[in-house]
Amino acid sequence: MDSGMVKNNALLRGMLNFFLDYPIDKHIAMCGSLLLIIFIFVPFIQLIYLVFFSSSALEGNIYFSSLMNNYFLSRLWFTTYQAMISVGASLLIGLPAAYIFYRIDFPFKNILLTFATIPFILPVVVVGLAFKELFGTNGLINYILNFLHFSSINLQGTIWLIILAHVYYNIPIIIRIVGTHLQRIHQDYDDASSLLGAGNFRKLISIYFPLLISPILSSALLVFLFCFTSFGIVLILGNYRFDTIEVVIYRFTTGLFNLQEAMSISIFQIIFCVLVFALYSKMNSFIKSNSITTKTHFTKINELKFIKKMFVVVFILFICIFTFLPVGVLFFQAFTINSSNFITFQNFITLFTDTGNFSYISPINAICWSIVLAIFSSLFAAIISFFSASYIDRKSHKLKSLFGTLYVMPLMIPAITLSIGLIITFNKSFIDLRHSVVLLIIAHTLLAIPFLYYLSILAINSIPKDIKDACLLLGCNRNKVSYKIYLPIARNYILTGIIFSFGISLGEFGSASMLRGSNFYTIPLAIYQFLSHPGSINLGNAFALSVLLVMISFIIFYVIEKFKLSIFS
Amino acid sequence: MCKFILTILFCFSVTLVGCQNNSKSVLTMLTHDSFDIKQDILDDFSKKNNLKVEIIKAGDANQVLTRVLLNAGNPEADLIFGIDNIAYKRIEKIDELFIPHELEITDIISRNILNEFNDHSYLVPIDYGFVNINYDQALYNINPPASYDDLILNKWNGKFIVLDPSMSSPGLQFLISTILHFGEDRWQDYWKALKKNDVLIVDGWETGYYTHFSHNGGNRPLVVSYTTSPAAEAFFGNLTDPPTKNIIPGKLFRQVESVGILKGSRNIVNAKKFIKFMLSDKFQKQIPETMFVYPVRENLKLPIWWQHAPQITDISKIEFNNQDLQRWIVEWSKIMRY
Repeated sequence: MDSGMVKNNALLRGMLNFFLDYPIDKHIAMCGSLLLIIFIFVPFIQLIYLVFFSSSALEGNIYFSSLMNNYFLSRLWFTTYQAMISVGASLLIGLPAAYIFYRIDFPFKNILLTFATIPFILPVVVVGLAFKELFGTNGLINYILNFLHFSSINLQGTIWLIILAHVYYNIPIIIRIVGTHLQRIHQDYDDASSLLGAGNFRKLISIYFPLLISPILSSALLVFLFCFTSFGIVLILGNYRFDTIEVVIYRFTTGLFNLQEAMSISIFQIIFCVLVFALYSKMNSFIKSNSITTKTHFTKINELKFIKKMFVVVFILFICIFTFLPVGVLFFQAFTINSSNFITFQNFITLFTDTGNFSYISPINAICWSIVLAIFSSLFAAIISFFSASYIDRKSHKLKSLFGTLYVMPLMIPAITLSIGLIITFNKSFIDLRHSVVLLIIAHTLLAIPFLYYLSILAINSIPKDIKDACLLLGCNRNKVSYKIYLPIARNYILTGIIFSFGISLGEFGSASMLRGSNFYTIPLAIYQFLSHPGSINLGNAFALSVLLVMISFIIFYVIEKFKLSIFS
Repeated sequence: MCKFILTILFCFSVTLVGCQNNSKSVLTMLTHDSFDIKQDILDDFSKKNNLKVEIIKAGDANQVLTRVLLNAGNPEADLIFGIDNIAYKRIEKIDELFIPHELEITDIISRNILNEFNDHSYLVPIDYGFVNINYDQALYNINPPASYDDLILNKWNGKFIVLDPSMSSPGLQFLISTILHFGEDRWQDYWKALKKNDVLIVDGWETGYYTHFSHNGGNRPLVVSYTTSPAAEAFFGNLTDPPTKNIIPGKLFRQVESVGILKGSRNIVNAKKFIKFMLSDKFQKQIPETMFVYPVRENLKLPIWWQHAPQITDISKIEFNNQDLQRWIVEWSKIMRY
């Protein structure tokens, strides 16, 4: 009995030691990079091989011919400059918003912050419909302009509408990534510099900017890649006048069936994005990692000086209107289309009425699938990203860049080539994933990894090096360092990343449309399903479901936000 | 280390195997997003044949064709529905993708529909449709344009929405219709005139119909759509008089959709049963109500609102191959590009 206990204890201790010394981070980083290689590189290379060397079904096309012509070069120029303007405009609105949301306390702040994230989840086709009601020739903006006796403007089919949409989608990224970092800058810096006579501008240049440069660069990189590879927005709002490279690739793939050309351009796009990433990496290497470790301090809005207060109030109003308006249009349409009186619930009732058709998607089913997908992919992406980031932290700069490129790759690869690549790679007997939900979970995990990885890196970089060294010197094992030092700091960053990852899962259409099997649907798929038939009842249902999507996302984001606050205090 | 990796691999493979469907009585059909069927008649079929029918929607018609081409010989499904007489031209070697269905169909389907597929021993036509122009009756019930030539009149400047043929299947069908109408040497001039008349080009039917068409709050009353869209409006709105009307501007291209058995299928007997089922009265009769296209079987009793979907009797055929299609799209893009 006694010896049994001892044995048991020894066994337990052995197991405990084994687990404590077990290099979890190393293995998860390995698994993560393996996952990315298997599900990104292998399909891509497989597709290149099939298209260029071995397919008999695709003969007679010349490749690399379009890369040199004027049309392509002009598209490349357009793609690049619209992405740069979009990044600039997003920063212009996003940075002050980040400051306001994460440094100043005002009523309903959390609700507003949650609301500002909603654009991220809206399917493009729905935003297109909402933008029509706002910026179209008969839209609300023109109505107001006419009312005030200004001449009306027509934004439809102009580059400005595309940039506006890009800003609409991407300011949540700037606000949240920069804000999460901004929150942790100690108020003492601010106070000390004030005491020493620094003005606001001086404080901005000498205190905030150096401390924030690395999150600003990271978020700008993500936004740039998003806009550079923009597809749906350009397609729906561009009216054939504007094509990004991603759209050109799609045209070659499905319209012209010229996969050779599509693959040549895809390779070009990836190389171009990697070069952009190299530039980012170079810029980042000049930055000394600024360590910040403090608690939040919020300035109450009433403590601000009058001018500053006015500025803050106006800016909050602007952000509210900017994010509220399109969503407001959705709500308005959902409750007024098909109504004989003013307000109707008809669209919501028909939404839940089974038509008896195979194509009928129960909203409850779609919502459940969307949430399940979101939970699994966020969880996987968060674990992979956090441990990879904490593993890579101790490695050389070269390896860091390599990992960084790999982990941001999902944003660089054209969606259509990746989807086709996945389908032709995982098609053999035991790894036949073509209609399995596993493939969709993996796809969403991959899309979420860039966000979570860069947020984790930001968090871990902000921890002073002497603290990390001291822990290791004092015999703390690596898991404990990850758990006790990295995790508490990274927690808020990871939760922010999870919000984005949920956003991707809830709102993503392209990969879900190609990779779904027969039994699962996401909410955007259901919305598109309604919009594929004529009839105002279908339009009404699409709006009603969009409203449900907005409300569900709002609740989820709000809960995550609350959770974030509660663990912070 | 080794153990860890092995465990991971094991878990992974267990998940994969768990996700597989190895039961033998499953018939899978790959199709595009617009496929639909009444659930109860599908259930009837499944029950009668002791089968589970799995229908996999895999994107739009072009994406589905791309997948089938790339998975040749190792198909994702037993059947594919949705290869039309345009996609058919893009398949170079049909015997590498399909196996002959060996069904007697010549007495069920009319000769001129069968002829859309030069070799109909592989593909069985199921339905057909036409892309034309719809107009918004609320605004323009006085004098809508009546022909292709009317559309380039100054009167209709800035009123018409067309679809990009390199992105959208109805867009390509409309382009082919104009080629059919004006001939290989004159269609380019027609499109130049349309462009001059400030035609709006959008990426797909959804954007054209729901964003820019005046019936749905846009500011253009003429849109490229289907001859069956007014009927669908009547059906969904429960109306006797639909709010949109058809314009038959001249010759129209007829799109015929087919079903075929994919090479490599291990379920050929059941696949044939399903094709027979798709040709049965029961299935054909519900085609208007679910997919809003015309069934290939004639003399069926169709719902009353289907009267708003006109029968096009003047059918002319056009011969073309994949190179022609690519050339047309490229030429069109060069004309219409801004």
